[in-house]
Amino acid sequence: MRKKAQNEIVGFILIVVIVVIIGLFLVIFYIKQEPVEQKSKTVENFLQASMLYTTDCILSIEPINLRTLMKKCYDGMSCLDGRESCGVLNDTLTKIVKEGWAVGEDSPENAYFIEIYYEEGEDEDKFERKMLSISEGNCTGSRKGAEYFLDHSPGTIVVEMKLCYT
Amino acid sequence: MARKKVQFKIQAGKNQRFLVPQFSKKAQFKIQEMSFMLLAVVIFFILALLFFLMIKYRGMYSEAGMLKKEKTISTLSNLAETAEFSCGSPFCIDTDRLIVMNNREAYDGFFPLVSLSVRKLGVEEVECNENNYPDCSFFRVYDNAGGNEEIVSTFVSLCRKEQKQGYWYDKCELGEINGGFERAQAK
Repeated sequence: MRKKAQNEIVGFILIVVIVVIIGLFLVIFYIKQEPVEQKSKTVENFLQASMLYTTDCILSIEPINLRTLMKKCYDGMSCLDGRESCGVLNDTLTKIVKEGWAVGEDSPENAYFIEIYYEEGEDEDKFERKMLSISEGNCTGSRKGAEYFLDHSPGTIVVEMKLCYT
Repeated sequence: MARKKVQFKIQAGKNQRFLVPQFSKKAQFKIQEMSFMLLAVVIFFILALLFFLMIKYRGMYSEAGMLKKEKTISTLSNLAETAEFSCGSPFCIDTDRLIVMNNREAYDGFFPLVSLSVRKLGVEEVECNENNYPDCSFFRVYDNAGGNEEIVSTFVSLCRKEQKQGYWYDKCELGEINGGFERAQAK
């Protein structure tokens, strides 16, 4: 082959290689992007509505609601029947999520994650204590979630819920 | 005289003032080749850009739809807090009030919805009336849907007064409020 023709081929291959590298870079960048977690009004409403749910834990006369149960769980109290309040909280919350969301491989929501923790103070003086963590399913696709803040002087109990959906 | 004219034509062709640029065939081919290559590269990038925009816009449309739905859910949440339904706390419906509102035709057109119902979650669906309340799970406030409605739901707490060992307390369960909206039709 003539030298000029060889140069032409090398130039053409170089352009193709550059275009392929740019394409691969864009594809990898697009795939590697972290799924965006969106604030969801539905999840927020679910958390709000759940807080009034009447549990089967009785402390004195009447059954307490989920909001009070969370506070009692942090304080380490037990129900009248001897069950730990955190154990009842775990069971009740799992039941409510099952009632509200059809989490599974066949439904749009494939996984959920709930974390309850207590926090107090800010920045360097911040104190955090994990109270409860519930999860189910393998998270794939996008995420939506919300938080609920419950005042428990001198700090706050935070309920975080995340749902994975396709 | 005729001989002189021919001579003049030949002289004009040689005149340096009227030189026409001469391109070789090879150079013309090279320029053509380069322009085709540039055109191909530009078309490739335009197609890549169009593909990227198409994917981006498709995501944007679904996001816009989701935001619209979330807005409707907010409206529904506000509805649950009206005096006709509220138990006094946010996202809470008093079912003792709701049973009185059952099949109330007077409320047709009062709310910006074509249908309105409330359902208790986690139990078998039994429509509520004054005879079976509170052992039921579905409250139909009104239903004027003509088949072309879109139903949007959101979670609420369903509370009622219950007596236990002589004490009255608020018994709350998880439920959902369903609002039907007339679907917009393309003309």
